[in-house]
Amino acid sequence: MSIRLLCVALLLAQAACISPSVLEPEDRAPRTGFEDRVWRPALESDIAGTYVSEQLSGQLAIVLRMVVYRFEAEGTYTGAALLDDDPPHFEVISGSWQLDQDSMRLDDGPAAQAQVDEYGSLRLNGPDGTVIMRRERPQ
Amino acid sequence: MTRDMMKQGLRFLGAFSLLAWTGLGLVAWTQVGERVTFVVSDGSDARDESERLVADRVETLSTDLDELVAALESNLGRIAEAMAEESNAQAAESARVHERLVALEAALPSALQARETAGALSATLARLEALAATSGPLDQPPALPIASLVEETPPVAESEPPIAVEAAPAEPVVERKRSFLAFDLPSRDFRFEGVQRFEVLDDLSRVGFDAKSTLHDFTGISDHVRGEFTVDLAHPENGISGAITVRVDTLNTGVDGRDEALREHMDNEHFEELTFEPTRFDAARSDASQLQLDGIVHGKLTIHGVTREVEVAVQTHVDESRRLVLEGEWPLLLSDYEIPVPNQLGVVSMQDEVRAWLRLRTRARAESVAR
Repeated sequence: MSIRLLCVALLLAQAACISPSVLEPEDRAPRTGFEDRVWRPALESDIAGTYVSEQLSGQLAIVLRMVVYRFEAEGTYTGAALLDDDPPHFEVISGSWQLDQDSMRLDDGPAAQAQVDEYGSLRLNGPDGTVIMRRERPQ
Repeated sequence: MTRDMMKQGLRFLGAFSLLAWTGLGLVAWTQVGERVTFVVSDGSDARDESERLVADRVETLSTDLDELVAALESNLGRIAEAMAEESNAQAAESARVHERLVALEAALPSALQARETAGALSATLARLEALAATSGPLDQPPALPIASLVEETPPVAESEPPIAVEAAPAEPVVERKRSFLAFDLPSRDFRFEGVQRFEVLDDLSRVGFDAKSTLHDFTGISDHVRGEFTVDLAHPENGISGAITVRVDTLNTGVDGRDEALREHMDNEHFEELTFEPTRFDAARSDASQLQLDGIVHGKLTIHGVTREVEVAVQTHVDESRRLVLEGEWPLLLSDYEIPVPNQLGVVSMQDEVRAWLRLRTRARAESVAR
């Protein structure tokens, strides 16, 4: 009888040590990981590199599934987009980029606000949406 | 005696035969000599005859050959004439085709412009129809001046004659617009009307349950949700179908020992997945303008190899990334699915009822879906 009581006491103690871990309904949605990033205006020296989109929002998110860019330091770029078309397909483009203040322009397209975070991720905020791209490490 | 007689007879017979043979010879000589003429010749006449015959034949052959050559010349001449005529006809046809190609090439820019104009006219017409639908009675002025819509339509080139173009199958004109990403993206908005297939984005979706125990409440979560479903958001009563699955071994309660116990109770080795198959959507509220749909989704939930009918209260909305978000929850009894309720020494026990919930982010596929 005493052993049984001891076990019960241990179980109670164990349970008491574990704090309640019930998620609130508003926390049930998974986090994207970019909610708490701190963004600053991008400099020209920040841009060169390879990027893969992590988050698309706005109007362009309806037709785009992902984008990949390679920006060269001398001002050229190449990019590929997976379009959510029927059927889905990639489109590949090349051209030149320029950065004026934090306003980035690809070829003669509309300008987008360019920002980077401490991990080198690049956020472009344009008239038809926002794309957050992870900097791809060289492999 | 007899022998001598025979000798005499034979002699007589021999003499008689000789006389008879000679006589017959003389008779034959006299009879045949009148009819037979003996000619003595050295053979030159016969040779002349043969040469004449050969010469005749050669002459005949030569004549035939001449006629043949003449006939061949005539036929070859006709063939050459026919070939020349055919060649001339082909050259004339080639010249006509070339002229036609040159004319088509010259007319191509105007045809393309006409096609663009037709697309612009179609878009303008659609905008006008939308404008007419939203502007109310005709005596009210439209929100946008018609002239501005007309100005957007490029004029049709008049310098080129109209080109007869074969009617192509009607395809929806999808306008493309240059985005700041430098891609020409089709202009498309979230569609509430029409049957669509929605794909669950597994990295951005979750299902879970909230459980109560004697001393400690906890939540189990899986971030690995897969599946798709097909539904017309504007008319969900027309049906919903599909399947959403979760691997049992991805359920995480935050405590390793509890996760292991959970998998044991759910017999993970034999029943690796939970599956929900929606079968009916009873809409309580459908608001196309707000892109919202609330209601009850009926379906079959399979856990631990046991399938039960369930009703899930769901709310949907469209997020900033134009994804359809589904949120729902429903009560679930472990005993309904023959899952032993965890119990430690009869003191610390989990309640049989848990609150199951889901948060799904889904994307509508671009393809058209036919029911």
